[in-house]
Amino acid sequence: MCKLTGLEKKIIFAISRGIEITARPFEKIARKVSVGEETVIGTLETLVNEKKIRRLCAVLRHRRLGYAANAMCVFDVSDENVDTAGEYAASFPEVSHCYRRTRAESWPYNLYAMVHSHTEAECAAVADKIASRSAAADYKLLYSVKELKKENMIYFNETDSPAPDKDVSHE
Amino acid sequence: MAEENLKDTEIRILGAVQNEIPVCARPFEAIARHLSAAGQAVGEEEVIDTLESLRARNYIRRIGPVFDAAKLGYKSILAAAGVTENSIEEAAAVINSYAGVTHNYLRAGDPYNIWFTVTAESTEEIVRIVDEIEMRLGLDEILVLPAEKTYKIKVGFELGNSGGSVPD
Repeated sequence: MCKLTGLEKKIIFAISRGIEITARPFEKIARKVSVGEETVIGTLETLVNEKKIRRLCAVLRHRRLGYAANAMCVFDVSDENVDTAGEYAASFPEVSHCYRRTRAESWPYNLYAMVHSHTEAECAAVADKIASRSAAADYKLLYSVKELKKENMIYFNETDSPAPDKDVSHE
Repeated sequence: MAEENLKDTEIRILGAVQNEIPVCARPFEAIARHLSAAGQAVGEEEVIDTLESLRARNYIRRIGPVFDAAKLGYKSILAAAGVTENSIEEAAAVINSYAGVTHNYLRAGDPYNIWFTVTAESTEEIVRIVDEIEMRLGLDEILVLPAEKTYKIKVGFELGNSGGSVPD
Protein backbone atom coordinates (compact mmCIF):
# COMPACT_ATOMS: atom_id res chain seq x y z
CA MET A 1 0.00 0.00 0.00
CA CYS A 2 2.66 2.50 0.96
CA LYS A 3 5.41 1.51 -1.39
CA LEU A 4 6.88 4.63 -2.84
CA THR A 5 9.63 5.01 -5.40
CA GLY A 6 12.74 7.04 -4.68
CA LEU A 7 11.53 9.67 -7.12
CA GLU A 8 8.13 9.89 -5.44
CA LYS A 9 9.81 10.40 -2.08
CA LYS A 10 12.02 13.16 -3.48
CA ILE A 11 9.05 14.95 -5.02
CA ILE A 12 7.00 14.62 -1.81
CA PHE A 13 9.90 16.02 0.19
CA ALA A 14 10.38 18.90 -2.25
CA ILE A 15 6.69 19.86 -2.17
CA SER A 16 6.11 19.28 1.58
CA ARG A 17 6.36 22.99 2.33
CA GLY A 18 3.92 23.90 -0.42
CA ILE A 19 3.98 25.43 -3.87
CA GLU A 20 4.64 29.00 -4.89
CA ILE A 21 1.91 31.26 -6.18
CA THR A 22 3.24 31.53 -9.69
CA ALA A 23 2.05 30.57 -13.19
CA ARG A 24 3.97 27.28 -13.29
CA PRO A 25 4.57 26.17 -9.69
CA PHE A 26 5.45 22.57 -10.57
CA GLU A 27 8.27 23.71 -12.79
CA LYS A 28 9.92 25.14 -9.67
CA ILE A 29 9.49 21.84 -7.84
CA ALA A 30 10.85 20.01 -10.89
CA ARG A 31 13.99 22.12 -10.81
CA LYS A 32 14.59 21.25 -7.14
CA VAL A 33 14.35 17.54 -7.94
CA SER A 34 16.14 17.84 -11.31
CA VAL A 35 13.37 16.26 -13.36
CA GLY A 36 10.95 17.59 -15.96
CA GLU A 37 7.79 19.48 -15.03
CA GLU A 38 5.65 16.75 -16.63
CA THR A 39 7.30 14.14 -14.40
CA VAL A 40 6.32 16.11 -11.30
CA ILE A 41 2.75 16.55 -12.55
CA GLY A 42 2.48 12.87 -13.55
CA THR A 43 3.80 11.75 -10.17
CA LEU A 44 1.41 14.02 -8.28
CA GLU A 45 -1.51 12.72 -10.36
CA THR A 46 -0.52 9.16 -9.45
CA LEU A 47 -0.32 10.08 -5.77
CA VAL A 48 -3.76 11.69 -5.97
CA ASN A 49 -5.20 8.59 -7.68
CA GLU A 50 -3.67 6.37 -5.01
CA LYS A 51 -5.14 8.71 -2.37
CA LYS A 52 -1.70 9.38 -0.90
CA ILE A 53 -2.52 13.01 -1.61
CA ARG A 54 -6.01 13.92 -0.45
CA ARG A 55 -6.06 17.05 -2.57
CA LEU A 56 -4.10 20.10 -3.57
CA CYS A 57 -5.55 23.20 -1.96
CA ALA A 58 -4.97 26.39 -0.01
CA VAL A 59 -5.01 26.24 3.78
CA LEU A 60 -6.60 29.40 5.10
CA ARG A 61 -6.11 31.13 8.43
CA HIS A 62 -9.52 30.64 9.96
CA ARG A 63 -9.11 33.22 12.73
CA ARG A 64 -8.35 35.83 10.10
CA LEU A 65 -11.65 34.91 8.43
CA GLY A 66 -13.59 35.58 11.60
CA TYR A 67 -13.68 32.06 13.00
CA ALA A 68 -12.78 33.12 16.51
CA ALA A 69 -14.17 30.11 18.36
CA ASN A 70 -12.40 26.83 17.74
CA ALA A 71 -13.13 23.85 19.92
CA MET A 72 -12.00 20.30 20.05
CA CYS A 73 -15.16 18.52 21.17
CA VAL A 74 -14.75 15.12 22.78
CA PHE A 75 -17.60 12.70 23.40
CA ASP A 76 -17.91 9.48 25.35
CA VAL A 77 -20.18 7.47 23.10
CA SER A 78 -21.02 3.78 23.34
CA ASP A 79 -19.02 1.58 20.98
CA GLU A 80 -22.26 0.62 19.21
CA ASN A 81 -23.22 4.26 18.58
CA VAL A 82 -19.88 5.73 17.70
CA ASP A 83 -19.95 5.20 13.91
CA THR A 84 -23.42 6.71 13.55
CA ALA A 85 -22.37 9.58 15.83
CA GLY A 86 -19.18 10.13 13.81
CA GLU A 87 -21.06 10.29 10.51
CA TYR A 88 -23.59 12.66 12.07
CA ALA A 89 -20.84 14.93 13.45
CA ALA A 90 -19.11 14.89 10.05
CA SER A 91 -22.27 16.22 8.40
CA PHE A 92 -21.93 19.62 10.09
CA PRO A 93 -20.16 22.23 7.95
CA GLU A 94 -18.65 23.60 11.20
CA VAL A 95 -16.83 20.30 11.77
CA SER A 96 -13.53 20.13 9.87
CA HIS A 97 -12.02 16.96 11.34
CA CYS A 98 -13.73 14.06 13.04
CA TYR A 99 -12.16 10.87 14.36
CA ARG A 100 -12.82 7.90 16.57
CA ARG A 101 -9.88 7.50 18.94
CA THR A 102 -8.77 4.94 21.48
CA ARG A 103 -10.11 5.60 24.98
CA ALA A 104 -7.55 6.11 27.73
CA GLU A 105 -7.98 5.03 31.33
CA SER A 106 -8.08 8.59 32.60
CA TRP A 107 -9.83 9.93 29.50
CA PRO A 108 -12.90 7.94 28.45
CA TYR A 109 -13.72 9.94 25.30
CA ASN A 110 -13.74 8.10 21.97
CA LEU A 111 -15.21 10.60 19.48
CA TYR A 112 -13.38 13.81 18.53
CA ALA A 113 -14.74 16.65 16.40
CA MET A 114 -12.99 19.92 15.59
CA VAL A 115 -15.64 22.64 15.51
CA HIS A 116 -14.99 26.11 14.08
CA SER A 117 -17.40 28.97 14.41
CA HIS A 118 -17.72 32.68 14.95
CA THR A 119 -18.83 32.42 18.57
CA GLU A 120 -18.50 29.95 21.43
CA ALA A 121 -22.29 29.73 21.62
CA GLU A 122 -22.40 28.42 18.04
CA CYS A 123 -19.72 25.83 18.80
CA ALA A 124 -21.60 24.75 21.92
CA ALA A 125 -24.82 24.36 19.94
CA VAL A 126 -23.13 21.99 17.47
CA ALA A 127 -21.52 19.94 20.26
CA ASP A 128 -24.84 19.80 22.07
CA LYS A 129 -26.63 18.38 19.04
CA ILE A 130 -23.96 15.74 18.49
CA ALA A 131 -24.02 14.76 22.17
CA SER A 132 -27.77 14.39 22.39
CA ARG A 133 -28.15 12.58 19.06
CA SER A 134 -25.45 10.08 20.02
CA ALA A 135 -26.60 9.68 23.64
CA ALA A 136 -23.12 10.58 24.86
CA ALA A 137 -22.47 9.67 28.50
CA ASP A 138 -20.32 12.77 28.78
CA TYR A 139 -18.75 15.38 26.54
CA LYS A 140 -16.44 18.38 26.74
CA LEU A 141 -15.50 21.36 24.61
CA LEU A 142 -11.82 22.25 24.74
CA TYR A 143 -11.50 25.69 23.17
CA SER A 144 -8.16 26.58 21.68
CA VAL A 145 -6.53 29.35 23.67
CA LYS A 146 -3.31 29.64 21.72
CA GLU A 147 -1.70 28.07 18.70
CA LEU A 148 1.69 26.89 19.97
CA LYS A 149 2.80 25.30 16.69
CA LYS A 150 1.35 24.64 13.29
CA GLU A 151 3.71 23.45 10.61
CA ASN A 152 3.78 21.12 7.67
CA MET A 153 5.05 17.65 8.21
CA ILE A 154 8.19 17.30 6.10
CA TYR A 155 8.05 13.76 4.76
CA PHE A 156 11.04 11.72 3.67
CA ASN A 157 13.53 14.18 5.06
CA GLU A 158 16.49 11.90 4.53
CA THR A 159 19.85 13.27 5.50
CA ASP A 160 21.21 12.74 2.00
CA SER A 161 18.35 14.68 0.41
CA PRO A 162 19.05 18.29 -0.42
CA ALA A 163 17.09 20.72 1.69
CA PRO A 164 14.51 22.78 -0.20
CA ASP A 165 16.33 25.94 -1.25
CA LYS A 166 13.44 28.16 -0.38
CA ASP A 167 10.77 27.78 2.23
CA VAL A 168 7.52 28.61 0.50
CA SER A 169 5.36 27.72 3.47
CA HIS A 170 3.21 30.74 4.05
CA GLU A 171 3.73 31.04 7.77
CA MET B 1 -8.17 41.36 14.92
CA ALA B 2 -10.17 43.92 12.97
CA GLU B 3 -11.88 42.32 10.04
CA GLU B 4 -11.78 44.07 6.75
CA ASN B 5 -14.35 43.23 4.13
CA LEU B 6 -13.05 41.03 1.39
CA LYS B 7 -13.97 41.89 -2.16
CA ASP B 8 -16.32 39.60 -4.01
CA THR B 9 -13.56 38.42 -6.37
CA GLU B 10 -11.31 37.67 -3.39
CA ILE B 11 -14.05 35.62 -1.74
CA ARG B 12 -14.68 33.62 -4.91
CA ILE B 13 -11.00 32.94 -5.45
CA LEU B 14 -10.43 31.93 -1.80
CA GLY B 15 -13.51 29.72 -1.96
CA ALA B 16 -12.19 27.97 -5.05
CA VAL B 17 -8.62 27.41 -3.86
CA GLN B 18 -9.55 26.20 -0.38
CA ASN B 19 -11.68 23.57 -2.07
CA GLU B 20 -9.33 22.18 -4.68
CA ILE B 21 -6.60 23.29 -7.05
CA PRO B 22 -6.18 21.04 -10.09
CA VAL B 23 -2.84 19.32 -10.63
CA CYS B 24 -1.81 20.61 -14.06
CA ALA B 25 0.91 22.78 -15.61
CA ARG B 26 -0.97 26.05 -14.99
CA PRO B 27 -3.20 25.44 -11.97
CA PHE B 28 -4.14 29.10 -11.47
CA GLU B 29 -5.16 29.41 -15.11
CA ALA B 30 -7.44 26.41 -14.50
CA ILE B 31 -8.92 28.15 -11.45
CA ALA B 32 -9.49 31.29 -13.55
CA ARG B 33 -11.25 29.27 -16.25
CA HIS B 34 -13.39 27.48 -13.65
CA LEU B 35 -14.45 30.77 -12.03
CA SER B 36 -15.12 32.39 -15.40
CA ALA B 37 -17.33 29.47 -16.38
CA ALA B 38 -19.23 30.01 -13.13
CA GLY B 39 -19.87 33.63 -14.06
CA GLN B 40 -16.95 35.37 -12.35
CA ALA B 41 -14.83 36.60 -15.24
CA VAL B 42 -11.23 36.55 -14.05
CA GLY B 43 -7.87 35.88 -15.67
CA GLU B 44 -4.86 33.82 -14.57
CA GLU B 45 -2.84 36.90 -13.71
CA GLU B 46 -5.60 38.31 -11.52
CA VAL B 47 -5.92 34.98 -9.68
CA ILE B 48 -2.18 34.94 -9.00
CA ASP B 49 -2.05 38.61 -7.94
CA THR B 50 -5.09 38.21 -5.71
CA LEU B 51 -3.70 35.09 -4.02
CA GLU B 52 -0.35 36.79 -3.52
CA SER B 53 -2.10 39.76 -1.92
CA LEU B 54 -4.26 37.52 0.30
CA ARG B 55 -1.17 35.62 1.38
CA ALA B 56 0.62 38.87 2.19
CA ARG B 57 -2.40 39.94 4.25
CA ASN B 58 -2.23 36.66 6.19
CA TYR B 59 -5.37 34.98 4.90
CA ILE B 60 -3.50 32.06 3.38
CA ARG B 61 -1.24 29.85 5.43
CA ARG B 62 -0.05 27.55 2.69
CA ILE B 63 -0.87 26.23 -0.75
CA GLY B 64 0.11 22.65 -1.40
CA PRO B 65 -0.85 19.01 -1.28
CA VAL B 66 -2.57 17.56 1.76
CA PHE B 67 -0.98 14.17 2.30
CA ASP B 68 -2.52 11.12 3.90
CA ALA B 69 0.27 10.37 6.36
CA ALA B 70 -0.85 6.76 6.87
CA LYS B 71 -0.79 6.05 3.14
CA LEU B 72 2.77 7.38 2.96
CA GLY B 73 3.70 4.80 5.60
CA TYR B 74 3.74 7.23 8.53
CA LYS B 75 2.00 6.85 11.87
CA SER B 76 0.46 9.71 13.78
CA ILE B 77 -1.26 10.21 17.10
CA LEU B 78 -2.89 12.91 19.17
CA ALA B 79 -1.21 13.49 22.51
CA ALA B 80 -2.25 15.47 25.56
CA ALA B 81 -0.33 16.75 28.55
CA GLY B 82 -1.39 18.52 31.72
CA VAL B 83 0.94 21.41 32.50
CA THR B 84 0.74 24.13 35.14
CA GLU B 85 0.16 27.74 34.09
CA ASN B 86 3.78 28.82 34.68
CA SER B 87 5.36 25.93 32.82
CA ILE B 88 3.37 26.26 29.61
CA GLU B 89 6.07 28.17 27.76
CA GLU B 90 8.81 25.78 28.73
CA ALA B 91 6.65 22.78 27.88
CA ALA B 92 5.75 24.24 24.49
CA ALA B 93 9.43 24.83 23.70
CA VAL B 94 10.30 21.21 24.52
CA ILE B 95 7.33 19.72 22.66
CA ASN B 96 7.75 21.96 19.60
CA SER B 97 11.43 21.05 19.27
CA TYR B 98 10.46 17.76 17.58
CA ALA B 99 9.95 17.91 13.80
CA GLY B 100 7.27 15.23 14.11
CA VAL B 101 5.16 17.58 16.23
CA THR B 102 3.24 19.52 13.59
CA HIS B 103 0.28 20.88 15.54
CA ASN B 104 0.29 22.04 19.14
CA TYR B 105 -2.49 23.95 20.89
CA LEU B 106 -3.01 25.32 24.35
CA ARG B 107 -6.60 24.45 25.20
CA ALA B 108 -8.94 25.34 28.00
CA GLY B 109 -8.94 21.80 29.35
CA ASP B 110 -8.58 20.12 32.70
CA PRO B 111 -6.48 18.13 33.48
CA TYR B 112 -5.03 18.14 29.95
CA ASN B 113 -4.35 21.56 28.48
CA ILE B 114 -1.61 20.98 25.88
CA TRP B 115 -2.74 19.00 22.83
CA PHE B 116 -0.34 18.09 20.06
CA THR B 117 0.10 15.70 17.20
CA VAL B 118 3.10 13.45 16.65
CA THR B 119 3.86 12.00 13.21
CA ALA B 120 6.77 9.63 12.60
CA GLU B 121 7.81 6.70 10.45
CA SER B 122 6.97 4.08 13.09
CA THR B 123 4.98 3.57 16.26
CA GLU B 124 8.27 2.89 18.07
CA GLU B 125 9.57 6.32 17.07
CA ILE B 126 6.36 7.96 18.31
CA VAL B 127 6.66 6.14 21.65
CA ARG B 128 10.29 7.21 21.89
CA ILE B 129 9.38 10.87 21.27
CA VAL B 130 6.48 10.83 23.74
CA ASP B 131 8.58 9.10 26.42
CA GLU B 132 11.35 11.62 25.93
CA ILE B 133 8.94 14.56 26.22
CA GLU B 134 7.45 13.02 29.37
CA MET B 135 10.91 12.67 30.86
CA ARG B 136 12.12 16.13 29.87
CA LEU B 137 8.99 17.75 31.33
CA GLY B 138 8.88 15.50 34.38
CA LEU B 139 5.28 14.50 33.70
CA ASP B 140 3.64 11.36 35.03
CA GLU B 141 1.54 10.80 31.97
CA ILE B 142 1.06 12.01 28.44
CA LEU B 143 -2.13 10.72 26.85
CA VAL B 144 -1.54 8.93 23.56
CA LEU B 145 -4.70 8.76 21.47
CA PRO B 146 -4.36 7.05 18.10
CA ALA B 147 -7.19 7.48 15.60
CA GLU B 148 -9.10 4.27 14.94
CA LYS B 149 -11.32 5.68 12.25
CA THR B 150 -11.57 8.92 10.27
CA TYR B 151 -15.05 10.28 9.66
CA LYS B 152 -14.04 13.59 8.13
CA ILE B 153 -11.06 15.64 7.06
CA LYS B 154 -12.30 18.59 5.10
CA VAL B 155 -11.68 22.16 5.95
CA GLY B 156 -14.11 24.33 4.02
CA PHE B 157 -14.97 27.66 5.57
CA GLU B 158 -17.99 29.61 4.54
CA LEU B 159 -16.55 32.86 3.36
CA GLY B 160 -17.67 36.42 3.14
CA ASN B 161 -20.76 38.34 3.86
CA SER B 162 -22.66 38.03 0.62
CA GLY B 163 -23.06 34.83 -1.30
CA GLY B 164 -19.51 33.72 -0.71
CA SER B 165 -20.45 30.20 0.22
CA VAL B 166 -18.08 27.46 -0.68
CA PRO B 167 -18.92 24.54 -2.91
CA ASP B 168 -18.60 21.11 -1.35
